[in-house]
Amino acid sequence: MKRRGFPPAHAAVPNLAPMIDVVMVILIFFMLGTSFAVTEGQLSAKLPSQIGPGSGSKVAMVPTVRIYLQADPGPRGFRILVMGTALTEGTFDSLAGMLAQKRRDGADANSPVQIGADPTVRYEHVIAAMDACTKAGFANLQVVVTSKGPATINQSS
Amino acid sequence: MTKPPPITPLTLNLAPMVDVMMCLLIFFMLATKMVEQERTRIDLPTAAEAKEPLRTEAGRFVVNIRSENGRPVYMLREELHTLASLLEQLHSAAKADARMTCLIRADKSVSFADVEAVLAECARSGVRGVQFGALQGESRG
Repeated sequence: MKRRGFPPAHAAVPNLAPMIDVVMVILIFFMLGTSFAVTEGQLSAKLPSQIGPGSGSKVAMVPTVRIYLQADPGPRGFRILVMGTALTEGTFDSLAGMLAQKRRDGADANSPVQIGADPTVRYEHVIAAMDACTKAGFANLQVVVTSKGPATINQSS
Repeated sequence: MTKPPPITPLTLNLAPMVDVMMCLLIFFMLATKMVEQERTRIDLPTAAEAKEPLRTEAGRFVVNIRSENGRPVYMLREELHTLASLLEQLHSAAKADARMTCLIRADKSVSFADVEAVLAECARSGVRGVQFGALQGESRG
């Protein structure tokens, strides 16, 4: 018997399309977010054994190049010294060019390159110097640390 | 004459697709969280020659150094440490694993002295392999 006064009952079928839209958007967001996090890389270096156990006995300290970043009151805040002599241009591009010339002149890619810096020099400039060495083809980078290093640092939270 | 079989209406079953998408979504949400825990947000310097880290590398000690109001803040993962306690942890980790390497992730604005303190302890503890975290891109200067 047909009941009067009531609308026909609909089959309960949920519409999944809007949910899929939202889930797709969130999925794409997380996929892109995860891929951004992977772009971080590394520069590898060795510590010469000037301090610590067995000082200097294990590593041959005959660097092909000694690079030192000296604090400077000028606008750049530092000077680049190569084997004790300041680079006239003083940029990391000129440092990379000079090192590439050394490689062309026959310097071994595995010969050690020592990098040191004054304590007040910004860390990003030390990384830029390491980057210039790697760009020029030197693979054996050594970061020089002074034994006085930690003693001069104030404790921080 | 035989009657042809009734034609069933063609309906798309979306339930398996929703299942798979939900699994993917949960995976990426959890993965993103893990990345955040492992790698604290730090304004890293850029380096064109920065290489992708080796995934097989075991025994690596990760030090995060953030700059806050010009002062360095030392962290092991998300955990804040004083320089003294961080160096102590580094020393005991190096004693436990002779082949340990150290990854230093520092804000580009910190001074070299703040990083040098960690490097000096690495040298003292016999850790020779050090990696510096950097974003892949052209360095300035």
